[in-house]
Amino acid sequence: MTTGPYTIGVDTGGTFTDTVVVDAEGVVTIGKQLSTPPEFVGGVEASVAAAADALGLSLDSLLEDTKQFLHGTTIVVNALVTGRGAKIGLIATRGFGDTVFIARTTSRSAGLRSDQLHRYAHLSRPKPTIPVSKSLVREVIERVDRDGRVLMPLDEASVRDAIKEMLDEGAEAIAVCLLWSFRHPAHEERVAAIAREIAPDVPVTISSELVRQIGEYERTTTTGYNAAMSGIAADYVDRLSSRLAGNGLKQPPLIMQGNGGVASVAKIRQAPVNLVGSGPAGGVLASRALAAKLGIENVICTDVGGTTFDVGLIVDGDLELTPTTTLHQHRLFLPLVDVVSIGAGGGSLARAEIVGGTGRLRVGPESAYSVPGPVCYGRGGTIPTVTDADLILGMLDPEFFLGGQIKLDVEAAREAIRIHVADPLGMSIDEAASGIVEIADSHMADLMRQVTVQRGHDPRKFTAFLFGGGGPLHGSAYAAKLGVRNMVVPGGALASVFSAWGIASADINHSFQQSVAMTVPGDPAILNETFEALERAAQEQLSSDGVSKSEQVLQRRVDMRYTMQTNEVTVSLNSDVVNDATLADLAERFSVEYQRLYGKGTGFKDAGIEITACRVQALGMLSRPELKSSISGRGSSSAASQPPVYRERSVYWPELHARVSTPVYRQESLEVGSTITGPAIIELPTTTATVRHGQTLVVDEMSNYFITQNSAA
Amino acid sequence: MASQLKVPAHDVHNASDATSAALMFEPSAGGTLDPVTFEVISHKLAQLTGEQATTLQRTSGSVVVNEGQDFCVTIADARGNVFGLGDFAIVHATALQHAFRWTIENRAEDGGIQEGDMFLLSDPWIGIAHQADVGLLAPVFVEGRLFAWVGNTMHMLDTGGPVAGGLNTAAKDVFSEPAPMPPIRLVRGGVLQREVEEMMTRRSRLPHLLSLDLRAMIAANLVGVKRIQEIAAAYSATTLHLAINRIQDNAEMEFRDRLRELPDGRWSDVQLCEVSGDGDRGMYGIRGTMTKRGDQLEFDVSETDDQRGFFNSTWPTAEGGLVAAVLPLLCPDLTWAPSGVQRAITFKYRPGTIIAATFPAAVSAGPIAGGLLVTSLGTALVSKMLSCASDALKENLFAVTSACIPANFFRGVAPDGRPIMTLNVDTIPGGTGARSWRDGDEYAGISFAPSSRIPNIEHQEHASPFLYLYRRELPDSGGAGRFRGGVSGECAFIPYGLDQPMEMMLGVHGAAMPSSTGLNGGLPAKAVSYRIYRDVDVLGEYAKGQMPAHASEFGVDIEWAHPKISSVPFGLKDVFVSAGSGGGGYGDPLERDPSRVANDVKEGYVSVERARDIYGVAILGDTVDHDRTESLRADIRHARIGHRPDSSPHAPPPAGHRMLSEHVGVTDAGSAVCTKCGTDLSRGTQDFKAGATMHTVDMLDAGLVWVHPSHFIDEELALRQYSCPGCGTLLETELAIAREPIKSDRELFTA
Repeated sequence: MTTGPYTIGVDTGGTFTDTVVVDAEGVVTIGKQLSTPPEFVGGVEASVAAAADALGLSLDSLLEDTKQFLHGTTIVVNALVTGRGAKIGLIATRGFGDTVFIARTTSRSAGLRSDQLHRYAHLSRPKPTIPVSKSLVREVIERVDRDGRVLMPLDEASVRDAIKEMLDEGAEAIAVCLLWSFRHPAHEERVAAIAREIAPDVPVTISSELVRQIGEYERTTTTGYNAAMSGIAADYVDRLSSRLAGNGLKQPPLIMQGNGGVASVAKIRQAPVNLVGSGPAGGVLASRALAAKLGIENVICTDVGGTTFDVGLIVDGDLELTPTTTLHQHRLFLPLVDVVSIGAGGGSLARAEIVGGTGRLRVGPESAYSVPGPVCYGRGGTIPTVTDADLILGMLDPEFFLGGQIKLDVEAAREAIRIHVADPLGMSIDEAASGIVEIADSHMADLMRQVTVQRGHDPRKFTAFLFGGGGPLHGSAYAAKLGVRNMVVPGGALASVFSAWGIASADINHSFQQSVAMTVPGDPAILNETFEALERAAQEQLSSDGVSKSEQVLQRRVDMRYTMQTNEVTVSLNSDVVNDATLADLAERFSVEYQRLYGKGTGFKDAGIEITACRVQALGMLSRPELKSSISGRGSSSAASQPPVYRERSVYWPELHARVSTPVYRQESLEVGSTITGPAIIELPTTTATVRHGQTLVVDEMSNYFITQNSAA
Repeated sequence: MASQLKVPAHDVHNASDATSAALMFEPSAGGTLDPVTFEVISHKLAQLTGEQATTLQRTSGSVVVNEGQDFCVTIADARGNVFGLGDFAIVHATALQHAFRWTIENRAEDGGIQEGDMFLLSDPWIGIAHQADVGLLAPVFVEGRLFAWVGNTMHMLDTGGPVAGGLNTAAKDVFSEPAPMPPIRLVRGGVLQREVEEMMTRRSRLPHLLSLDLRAMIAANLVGVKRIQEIAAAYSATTLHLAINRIQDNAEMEFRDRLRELPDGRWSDVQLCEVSGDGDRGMYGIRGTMTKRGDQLEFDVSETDDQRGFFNSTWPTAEGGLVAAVLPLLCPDLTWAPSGVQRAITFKYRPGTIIAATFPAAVSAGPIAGGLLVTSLGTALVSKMLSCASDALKENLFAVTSACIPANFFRGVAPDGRPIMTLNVDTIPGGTGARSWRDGDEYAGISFAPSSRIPNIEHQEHASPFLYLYRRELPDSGGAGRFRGGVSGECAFIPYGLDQPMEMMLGVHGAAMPSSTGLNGGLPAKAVSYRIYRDVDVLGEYAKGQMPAHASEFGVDIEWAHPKISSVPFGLKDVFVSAGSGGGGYGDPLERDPSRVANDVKEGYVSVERARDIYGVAILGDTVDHDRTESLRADIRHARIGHRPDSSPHAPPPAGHRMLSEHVGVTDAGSAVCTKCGTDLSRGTQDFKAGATMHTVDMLDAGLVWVHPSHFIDEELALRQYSCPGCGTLLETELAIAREPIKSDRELFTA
């Protein structure tokens, strides 16, 4: 029997809309329905209704007893990337209207992989979107210098003309980014006021409200994308809120952002660009929540999907944020949960290449995607994929893929691997399939290494969380290759709605920043004044979100660097009043952090240290119950026990280079304390987990699978 | 003229003497490498260059490295063959190959190469692009033997010498430049040698930055050494050794397969460069012929003019410049292991020329002089060959991309008495060359450093004593053609926050004439310019309520700065304007889709006048006047060949002809014909220029230069256009020294 009030997390993806309902005791119930493009709100309603049904409640009675409704969606950003954003007009300082087109001359290559960069003739600047044409850019007369001093006052007549002209050209939203506006916002504010006066219904975004950071190009892109998203975002959150309110929800929903926190509908209408990156953030948030529950400090979050492999980090129990991101080959100033992706997954294509009589076996980054998909899906795919190799090796049961929803064609997969890989390379089909999996696993391990080592961490001290369709299958191999000893497959039913569960665990989070220019040692008043202003804005925002003082947490950070160095290290600042001693402490911690990131002896204090920006993360802590046993957990004893083997089948294990008769377990026969020694396979309704030779799996009370590499192995 | 040092012959060579051989790792007999292990290892090695690059960039204090991306990271085998490089300035990677080999030959004696050592160098004759770059080479030892090398180079803001920044346009020899340094151990047995570091930093005007940069280079090498040792431990040293060999073998074989797909033939090209330094008015040519037979490619650049002034490069730099054209154009989808690719390439050059200068020539401008010109030459040669290739390979060709790097250094004194030195990089990237199927990109690139970027205006105003008046894309600066070259950028700024005038040093080529040449009829991009508008007093104008933000608003009195000059005053009320180079165009501009021209006009990339005069397109408002366009185009064709084009085409060219250019075919009988109208252009030879109608274009009238070339040089230049006498189609556009004879530049061999 469950009891309200409830917390609901809903994650809308391209295919499915997932729901997690957490009751007052922390017990979880899930719902999963197809998404309903192009309007999507119907899919949200249906998915929540499915969860309500599982609870024995009506949709209305569930929502009426819900205190928090948290929602993540990628559809707004997808609409933007596919060219369905609003047509924006852009206002710039006279002389600098080409800024977003020039893009610091990086847009041919920004965000592209090495193999793409080598194809010079196929690199191009992206098609203009913010705005779509130079005819929608207007330069206005005004100029501020580096100290924020006005050299040329704003010519309001030029502003009025500019706005009228761009509206005539068909502008549906207006973005304003003037030089040095983060030092002197008055000009931008005045432009916005004039625009609202001329066209009250046209959304206006000004850069100084969104991002007070030095760098006019990235400020312009961030402002431009925000304006371009404003219409779609407002439309979506308004439809969602009114539909949910109509079904009895009393509090408006909170919307997931790329920084790993949620924001109010009002805030999202104002700053929709914060939705960028919210998709991949869900998995990392869920990992953080689970890690907190399990008492694990450092986690590598790995998500193997059909086409991509995503890696994120939890360090000392917290998310890692990256200060910039790339969207559509443009760089933006947005603090995002740091998730790195490569083209590797179940759909990665494998093929042999013969060069001068020597064979190569290539895997990815090209993918079969979901259409046509792997050969074994029987949907027209002819080139073998990693999933086909998994099947040949015996890792997958052709009759029990997605719980038996899809019957896999083993013969077709064998034939494809024989033709495209085994015969050209003179290998057996098993060896070829094993090679494909080995290469894919190794590429994934390399990315995990890149993400950890390049940030100065030792991956062997991390626990790997394995999720996504292929994570539990491949993770016990790729994590082991990296020397990771502890792995966790998130438990039971949660695994299939992991991202939604992460969203349900989110707190309100707003990012505020202000560029400053000071050296250390220097005048502490600069920091005191800047943080005071930032925190005032942060508190206002949280109060307008309805967060009470006791639930407000403000985290101060500063960006620091060695003089004339372009890359910054963000250091947290834990005191309310900054004085000379605090500054000295900051400098010391900066040096320590710098050496941890870049190696001993690479720091060089004599060059001088600068503080370049102040940041405040404004958190509104949402109260929620402690997580309880997942609904699918069974048994009460935590004593080790041997679960019954469902059957045995022959599996080729790449690391053993041999077929071994391997026990297969079904999820429903495992209980708390169940212990399985590898090699073994556990079949779940939505995925398959593997335990390798030399590893042991133990089931905990939340149905998580703990996999440990034995010391002897 | 020989150097005091044992500088190797300029030929590619392998260390083979007994000393170094005794150091080398020997693989155990019978070792094997299966395809799966090879794939796993080569991914790790490819990832390693990324890791080295990230370490270097993030640790370095230098704007040049982080923004300009003027650095490289490499991995080489035990003999110094570079098989792994990052995605940055390619030109440095093959130069460094020379440095690895020199070090093995000259530093191995008496235990001179030990585990934990790192060799610092800045000697362009040994293997660095110029003395402003510093290289650091680290041997990787496995099982006590020399197993591999890692190395990187970084452009430093100052490595000493008479002029801040290292370039000296007044230099007549290397003794007026930063002193070159042969490989010396900065790190010995894992310990940083302070005396070596101080010898380096003591020369520099920015010792702190240099020191920080050296630490970044050490950190990047440490990452490389450690990782290679880890991989050797995990897979066995022999297996890794075999994988490193196979990467190079694969690159060679893939490249040879690629060459076999292309027709055999010979192509030639000239890239021009004006003035060699302060006070010079000469004109110089980088002249090359490329011959391709079967699976071999040969570049012969020995006809290049003799070394002179400060604008030379050493051969390692020039070789890097050629490889920087070969990899992206011929190997975009192949393995980028220069050592393997280079096994199929022969280079012929003449010591004592601009691109293979001998000691003690001035070479501090190496990469932006000879190195870059050679990249343009290589791009032109390979693209001419690709014009004859299958559609899939032809897609990879380019007209020349922004072929000049305006290097502008500014010196001054801050109000507090601090010396100021800064450089302006805004117009270094330019437009990219047009492709055979798509326009070039506007203001987007440097040919050999595709990921380079320019700083934000705000960052520059924060760090430098400048106030910018504008930074824009420059209309009409891209080469015209069926596909247009990308436009360049232009910026204007004034000194700001100073109480004393500044001084600047300028160094560029392509101001007297265009430098980004077009292809297959396409026109070159507009020349670059440095303009100084004296006593404009912009701040005074602001005070009066005026905000000048276009060059036309600075007055008509323009000082056309010499393209290479060591000292020009920059007064407090002056405006400095720098315009970069666009990319060359592809194909006859009259074949450009008129709607594309209309869009160019709407977006401000092409003026209405140029649309009319060069493209023959009449624009009415936002749209094309089609009737008028047709008659304009007919008039232009008429003017090219002196009569109305034939209305009825000749017999179409016989089936089975091979392509020599966009619209020139070669018949079985060996004649060049126009493939549009069938006109026989050469009567039995492939020299289609002989039968084409040639006319010259006035570059100033055509808007291809800012000021008449005679302002800077004494030679007369000719922009020659060759059109089909039958249909008036423009077949080739070439820029030449007027007194030089017309030469056939393309020939296909008969099988």
